[in-house]
Amino acid sequence: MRVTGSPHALASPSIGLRFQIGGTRNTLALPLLKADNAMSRPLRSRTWVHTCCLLACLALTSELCTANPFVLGSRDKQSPSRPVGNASANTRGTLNANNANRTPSARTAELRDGEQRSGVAASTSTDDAASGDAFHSNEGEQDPEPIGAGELALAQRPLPANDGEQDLEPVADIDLESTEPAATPPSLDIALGMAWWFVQKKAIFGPSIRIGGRWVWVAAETNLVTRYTPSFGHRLLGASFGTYLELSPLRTRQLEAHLGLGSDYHWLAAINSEEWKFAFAARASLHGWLGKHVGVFVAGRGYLAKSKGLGLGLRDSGVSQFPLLFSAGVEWRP
Amino acid sequence: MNHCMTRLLIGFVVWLTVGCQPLTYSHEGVVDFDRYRTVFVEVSGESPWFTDYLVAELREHSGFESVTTQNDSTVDAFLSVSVETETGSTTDSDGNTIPNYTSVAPYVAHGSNERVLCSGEEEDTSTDYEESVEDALDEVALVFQAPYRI
Repeated sequence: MRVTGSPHALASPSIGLRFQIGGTRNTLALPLLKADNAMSRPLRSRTWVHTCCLLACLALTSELCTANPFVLGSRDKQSPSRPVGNASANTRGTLNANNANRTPSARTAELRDGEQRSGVAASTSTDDAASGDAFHSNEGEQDPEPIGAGELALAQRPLPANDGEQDLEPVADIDLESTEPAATPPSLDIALGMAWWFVQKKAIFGPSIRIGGRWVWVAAETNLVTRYTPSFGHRLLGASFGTYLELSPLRTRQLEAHLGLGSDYHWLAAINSEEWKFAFAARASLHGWLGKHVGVFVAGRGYLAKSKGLGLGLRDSGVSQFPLLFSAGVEWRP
Repeated sequence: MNHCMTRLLIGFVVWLTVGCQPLTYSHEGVVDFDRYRTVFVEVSGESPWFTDYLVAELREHSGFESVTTQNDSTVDAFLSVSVETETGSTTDSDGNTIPNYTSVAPYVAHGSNERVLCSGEEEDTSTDYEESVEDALDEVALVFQAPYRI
């Protein structure tokens, strides 16, 4: 992609940026910035493109580096919203960590004693005594914490001979290890979709893809654009391409909300193979998962800055309507 | 929960379907093509094919009804373009020298009453000489693209 820029004064009191993408001339109007004449320094669209790409790469890198496998991994492996047995993942991790610090004899004695755990504390290490975690603070009349399958299996094993007060040598904790969730490397989720834009007298539809983690997503879409005429029906007008960098402030097993910024390119090939319209857009989307793999979504977008001649919410007659465009579709995730 | 969310989403989609918004593509011509229907084109440059190429592009994409190279009293507008090409070179990562050509095409269009209708300058750089000239002339032709609103 080759982008060259040159200052260009538009007829309206605004700053215009004429640029070229691979032999395609385009004009970007920034109506919020006013200038009387052409800009003194040439603006380079390339800088914006590179900046956006750099930000996207940084965001994804940050997402990967700070990834939490309990969150970013597949939802089916381990999800923070899905309890494991009677204990959450974090509680379970605490229990496992405490078990790792105890000697096998102490753990066995704890489980055998059941509700009377106060006596076991004396035979545990000093670290455990100082930790004061929930496992040890459950004394007397309170119900014990839920016991995992591995711990039950350990409790049912016959106790080896123990001469006096000396603890046994540590034995391999096979059952406990087998019940712990495997530490998965951080991974990115992916969703493929098919979207339909709700526009008047045109049909805009096409596939979309989004990749991301807990917080940051990158979304891309490509659509065919057809124009409806009463005589000839829908005729192909061109295509549109969109790329977005999104944040996901809400993400549960069934619902996701995304807010993003990006760009929409409209290629009007039927008019001229070099006719493009560009828009810097803000988009919000809501994704609902109906099942394990299939979901639906709705999205709304508005154009913050756009090329001259790209009218969102503008009718053919020139009447302006609500400048927000909605789309909806279905999604599939592996 | 599933049923509630499904109904909510379906209702929202139905509402969206009813409330479709318009999305309009439009282009306003730089000149009044209803008033200036015929244009005389003159390109000054190193090669004579410059004029033929620009005339062909204007006939295909511009809003002028007629594009001619015959200067007579019937033309409504005059378009003068001068093409100049500068040769440079760049060195790639392997140390090879690659020539590049930068073509600059300033243009001015004026009516029969000498009133300036439109003026500007287009520029393009390419490693091929003809391609740089053609791209610069393409951009000049696109300036006079026919207006549309769809």
